[in-house]
Amino acid sequence: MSMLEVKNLKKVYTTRFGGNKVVALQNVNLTVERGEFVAIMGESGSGKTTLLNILATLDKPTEGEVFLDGKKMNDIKDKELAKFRRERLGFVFQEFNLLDNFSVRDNIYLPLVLADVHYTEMLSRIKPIAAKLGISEILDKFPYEISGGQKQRVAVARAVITEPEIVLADEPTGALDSRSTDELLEQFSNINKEGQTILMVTHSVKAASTAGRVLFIKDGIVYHQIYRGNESNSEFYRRISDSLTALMGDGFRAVND
Amino acid sequence: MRSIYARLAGNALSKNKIIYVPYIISTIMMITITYIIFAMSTDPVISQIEGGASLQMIMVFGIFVMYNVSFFFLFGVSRFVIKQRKKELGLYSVLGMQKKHIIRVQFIENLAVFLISSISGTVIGIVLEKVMQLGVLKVYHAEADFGWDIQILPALVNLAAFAIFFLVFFLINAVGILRSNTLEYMKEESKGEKRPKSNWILAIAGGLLLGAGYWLSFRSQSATKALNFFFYAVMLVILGTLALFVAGSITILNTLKKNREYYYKTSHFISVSGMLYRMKRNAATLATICIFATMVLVTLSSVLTLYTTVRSLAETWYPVDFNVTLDSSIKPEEKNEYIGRLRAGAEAVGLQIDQIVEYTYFNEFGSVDNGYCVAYPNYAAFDTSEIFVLSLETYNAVNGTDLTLGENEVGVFVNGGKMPSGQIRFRALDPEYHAKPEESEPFTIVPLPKAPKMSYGGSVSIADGVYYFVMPSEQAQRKVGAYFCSSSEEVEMPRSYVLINTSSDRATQLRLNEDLKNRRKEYACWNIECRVENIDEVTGIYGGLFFLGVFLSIAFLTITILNMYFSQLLQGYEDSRRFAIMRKVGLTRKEIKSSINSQIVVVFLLPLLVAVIHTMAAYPMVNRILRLFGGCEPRSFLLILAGCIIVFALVYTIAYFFTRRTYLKLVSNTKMV
Repeated sequence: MSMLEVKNLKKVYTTRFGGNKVVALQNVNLTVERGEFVAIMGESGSGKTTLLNILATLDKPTEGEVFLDGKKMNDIKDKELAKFRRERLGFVFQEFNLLDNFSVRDNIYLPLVLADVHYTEMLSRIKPIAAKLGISEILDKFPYEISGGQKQRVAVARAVITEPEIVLADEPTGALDSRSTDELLEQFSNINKEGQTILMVTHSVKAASTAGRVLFIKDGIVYHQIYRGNESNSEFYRRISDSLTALMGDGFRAVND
Repeated sequence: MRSIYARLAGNALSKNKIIYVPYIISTIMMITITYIIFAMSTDPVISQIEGGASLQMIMVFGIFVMYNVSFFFLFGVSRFVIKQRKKELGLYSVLGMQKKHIIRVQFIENLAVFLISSISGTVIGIVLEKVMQLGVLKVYHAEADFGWDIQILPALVNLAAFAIFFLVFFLINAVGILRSNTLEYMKEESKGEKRPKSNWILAIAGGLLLGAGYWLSFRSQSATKALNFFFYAVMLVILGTLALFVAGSITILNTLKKNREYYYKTSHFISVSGMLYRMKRNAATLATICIFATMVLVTLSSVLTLYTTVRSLAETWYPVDFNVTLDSSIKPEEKNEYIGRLRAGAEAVGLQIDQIVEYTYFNEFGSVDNGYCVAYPNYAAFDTSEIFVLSLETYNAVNGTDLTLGENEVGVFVNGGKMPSGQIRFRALDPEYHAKPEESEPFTIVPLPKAPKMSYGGSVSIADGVYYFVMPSEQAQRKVGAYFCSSSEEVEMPRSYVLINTSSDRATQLRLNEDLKNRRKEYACWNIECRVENIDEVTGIYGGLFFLGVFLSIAFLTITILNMYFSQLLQGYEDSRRFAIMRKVGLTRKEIKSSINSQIVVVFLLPLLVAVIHTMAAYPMVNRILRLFGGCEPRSFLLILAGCIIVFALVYTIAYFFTRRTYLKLVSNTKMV
């Protein structure tokens, strides 16, 4: 069974006065297997963030179903959603979303505290994660005292400390310089190698090239997907690039028409 | 045609309603309050009534206090408004507006806010001042005049003062715009905040200051001590409160945070760290609110107590209808002639004389303690009481009694002090406060059931108690006087007083009063006390105090509530971002709401609770001072105090619910996506 299964997903936004309907997602089908690292690529406005928000249970689909580990997410009651989210999903956002009145350590602890985990357990969990992400030294600093790259690594630590079934990342490298981007992507792929399932939304080819599979989305429709197979990052990078060019190019539109 | 700047300014005002409406309302309130106090202090109607002039003197202080408070309060609010708008202003600048254009837009905005609030404030002020005027007249039992008299000068001066305030705010803001660059402006909102640090020294100092203030209140045994130390106690408590709120709260929270078992629990984690930042930002505001609340409670309960007890007070102060002090130049043999003149004068105005008595006494300041009654050369020393020495004949004559005393006995009545027991001797101190060697023989104390019904000079003196010593004979009185009085003249030729009691009506009494005052020389009057007139004056002064006290309390309460509102509004803007993140990470709406609730409740309750504790601690001191001003019963003060606390808490709670609603609206408005 797949870790994540999306069937015939449709999302329609209606403007406030009921006039125009905007189709953000249309007939999206996808599956993510356990331990996979999947990237979803697309331009701004392509619907990729809408898709991620639905997977994150932050938004509801108009039609279609989402299964996580065989459990239908549409059925989860609103009351249980928050619990579901913090226990089974991990999030990494473009804007880090760290709380500035908590230390780095407390930011990482936050989901564990909410889950009533005992303090000694938190301490034993944070050690290996902080070491792996290279943030052991800054645990007692505050978000405004550390760099953007460090902030994003803290956000990753917060996402994985609950041992979630899937980590959802929304443009995680969007606010980082190239060096921090390289570091973060390497850490993502390390985490993935240890068995963590990751779904990442991005428009950076470089970020996508670390993934094992890339889905292309345009105007709310998943057009295409490519697998890395045994390719190196740079080979995969080229293939993604080519696909993107085709996707943007007239030829592709012709097929679509 | 409206210029683009005016349109931008108008747009900004209507788009930022949630900030500007409370800003304009608070400005209107400030202008109204200051105008009313100002206009009342120059109101010719009020200055005409008895005691009105002294009331107006007190109000002049009120004006200065209010201008100070208004300036700093509105300055705080205007900074807050600017802070909220920085991003927008930055955007203008990005879109190509020059700094001078932004300043121009800001000027128009400021001008609009000023014009709206000053016009409404003045109009409301004029209406309310008239209402207040009628209220004061009612309190004074004076005739009300229902004409409209708008006072141009106070209105203009008041407007000018606020115009200057706004100009200053605008200029400070303009300088800020000129000195900053666009990017800085855009970023301003999301600047990181320094972590709050514990400050044990300041926290402990705060505790000590507060303790010292409380100690002064509890340890001030006598009324004069209480009055002398009141100011210091107030200063200590204000400083202590500030230090405790600012340093104490953060130190306690940081200590809680260090206790990991406690801190890393869902219910404590968010609240403790939330409170830490909330206190860091709001501690000074909360301390101010707490101090204002204490002031309101103490002032309100004191003036209410004085006002409700003033009538019975006046009765004890002025026990006789008329008390005339005869000129000291009158020789003993002439006395009867002058008494005859007084009698004739009274009859001439149609006054029915029930009793007319001439009497004398010795009067000194001093203390009664350890079997001695000691007179001081002057009454600068603490713990002074007013001491009267009179003869049994006088006592019996003024009271209409036929009391008898043995040769070595002294009748004693005490008002507001401790009744001595056993024997007592009379002596005096020299000007250097050394005891003079001579002292009188001892007299055995016989407590008297009633005070002599004579006036004791009519002035309300600052004394801890009033002691009446009734000597068995005039010789005994004179003998004691020799040891006791500061001048031998006083003993040889004591001043004569004549009291008149009557059953005639008020108008007749006032007629006699007028007649005596107009012909002082003929009557050889050095001083005339008319009970009816005195009571009017005292109720006037206390009524005025009451009125002003209530008014200032309302003003302070208003400021307190607005302060609270704005601090929570500001907090709401900042918290909304934090709570959005928490929801993304997996906090339920319910959990967030309960965490918010517990934090707001603490922020609201803390000042109220501390204010109530302060008021309780102030109670012994204030009670003693109040007794100085007229011996009110402690029970009535306590009851009134409790009533004031309940009313205050009620108003405060209503304000809390309003503020909470706005805050929750701000916080829950943020979408997760």
